[in-house]
Amino acid sequence: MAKLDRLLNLVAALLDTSVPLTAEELRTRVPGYPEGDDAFHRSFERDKDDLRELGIPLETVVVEHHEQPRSAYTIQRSRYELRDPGFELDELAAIHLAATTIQLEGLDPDDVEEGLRKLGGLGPTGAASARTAADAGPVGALPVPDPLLDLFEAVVERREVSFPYAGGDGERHVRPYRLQFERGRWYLTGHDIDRDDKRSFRLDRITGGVTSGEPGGFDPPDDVGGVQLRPWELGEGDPTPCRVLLDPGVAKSVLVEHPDLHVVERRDDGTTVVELAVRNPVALRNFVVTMLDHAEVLEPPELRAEVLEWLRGFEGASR
Amino acid sequence: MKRVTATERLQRILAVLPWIVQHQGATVDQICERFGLDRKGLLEDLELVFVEVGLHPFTPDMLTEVTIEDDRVYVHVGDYFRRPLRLNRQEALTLLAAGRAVAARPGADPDGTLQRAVDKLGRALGEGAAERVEVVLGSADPDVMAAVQQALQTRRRLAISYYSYGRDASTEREVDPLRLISREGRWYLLAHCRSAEGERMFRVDRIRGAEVLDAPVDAHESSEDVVPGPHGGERTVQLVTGSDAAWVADTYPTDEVEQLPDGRLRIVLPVTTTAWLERLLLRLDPSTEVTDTSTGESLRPVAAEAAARILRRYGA
Repeated sequence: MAKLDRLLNLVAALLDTSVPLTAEELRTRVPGYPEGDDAFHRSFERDKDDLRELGIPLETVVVEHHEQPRSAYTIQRSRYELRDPGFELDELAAIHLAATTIQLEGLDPDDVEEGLRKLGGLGPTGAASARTAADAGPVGALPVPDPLLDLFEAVVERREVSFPYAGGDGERHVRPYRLQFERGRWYLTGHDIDRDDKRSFRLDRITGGVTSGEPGGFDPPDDVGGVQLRPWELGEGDPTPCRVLLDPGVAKSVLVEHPDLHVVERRDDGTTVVELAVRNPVALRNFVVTMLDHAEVLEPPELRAEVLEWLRGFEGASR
Repeated sequence: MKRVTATERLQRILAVLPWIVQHQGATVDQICERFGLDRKGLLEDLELVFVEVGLHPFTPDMLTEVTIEDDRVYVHVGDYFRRPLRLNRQEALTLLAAGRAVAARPGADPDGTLQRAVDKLGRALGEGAAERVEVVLGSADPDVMAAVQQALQTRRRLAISYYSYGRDASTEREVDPLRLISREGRWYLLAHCRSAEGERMFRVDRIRGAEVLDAPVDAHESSEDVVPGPHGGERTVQLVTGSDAAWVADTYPTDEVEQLPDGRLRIVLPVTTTAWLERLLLRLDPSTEVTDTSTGESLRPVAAEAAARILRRYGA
């Protein structure tokens, strides 16, 4: 396989060199390129594309020490080499098993084994149990919306990003801190540079391509926090504390879904009182009415009155 | 067997060679097992590295040396291949997202092998990388989740108290668990329901209590593709409502969405149970027009009755 030999030797030459090499220099150092200038350049261009496709950080620099400036190429080891995380075999097996049960839609399933080989192996016990798990089919599937890979790279490499977002004009400029998959959707949380505030974005509402800045463009804060899936808390100003009584049946589901809710009281009859921080009364109302007659806003009186007034509007509507 | 391209082989060699160099004398079988390779493929890769790979001017001291003695492999190669290539972003995302997802399952061991592995993977990708990707496959009561998993592993029957959201009612059932599945950010238990005498998907966060019984599960023919959701009784409903109700089309499956000349939205969607429709209507403006598309009957009284029921609860 002539092409494979050539690619291996090309990678070796580029990793070994301390100065960037021009195409002509590589042509003399790497055997296997076709005769003739045009054929060589076509092959060389394809090889560069293939290496970049594999994620090899092939860099182009312009060298001036020739009569005319020319492009030269290098691979920096610090950007090529995987840090050694010192995996034990059972740890590789655990990741392998996890990756066979969770499928990322649209990505090549071979990425799992190729990634694990770089990390040090699939794990012998893992290979067997992963096959058993794979026979049963994946347990879960995660969607991979278009911007996800770019944003993942940006989060890991701390690159600023900009992207067009539904419901607004122009691009949003964001320092991306964190990606979260919750309730079936991907969210990005970060610092919105123009608004100078922390914001969360739904990836399925990003309407175009993501442009990324240079790696190491910012330092994320220690406590990033995540997307806020308690809609009644969203809004401006100080929150109003609001107590809601939950019947025994719904209380359990609500607390499973929102484990951080502040429980004020568990009564002997099995009902539970929770306290919510409300900035958005409409969202509070929506939350409460979806529990039908199994929940009740207790206080403050203004919020209770708002719910009652809303419900009375439906009585009139039936006539 | 599928044809392996030059770049796929390149990727494999760049990943495996550094390990072989660091573990001189590993046997061919050990390497194959560890990396999920077949013997023939590995030997071909080693042969190629031996014959062809090195640095200009390819004098013997610049070439790779591969020896296989008694099935043990010894490789000497320039230090340009001392470490594997970094993960590309597809590989990194696949492994990290899956690892984080499974490690975050309700009831998972926070100090277990997988969590250690995920921490190491994060360190390999970059400082803090693991914490910056979070995947929640679904919420569930850890006790319920533990019972479900125990029943699955030991193939025992499970007694559950299940809240049907659509009917707004709780039922006690005995089920034979088949699989645990995550879809759209929710955990579902696929099980043969002995009360309904058929396969059903149960949302795990609506199982209010679960007890593993002594009885073993019966054998059932498992059918493919049971979809979560309501069972029959579907009707199609048309809403004419304000433009601020666009979230409905964002949130639920719809048959038609149309903006009317007066700016209002016309939304046609399937509805399976009255309780579900009540919850939807109580979140839309009271002026919303709602009709059953097959009978033309106005369904406003559904919302009015639900509102009246809640008002009674408030004593109002």
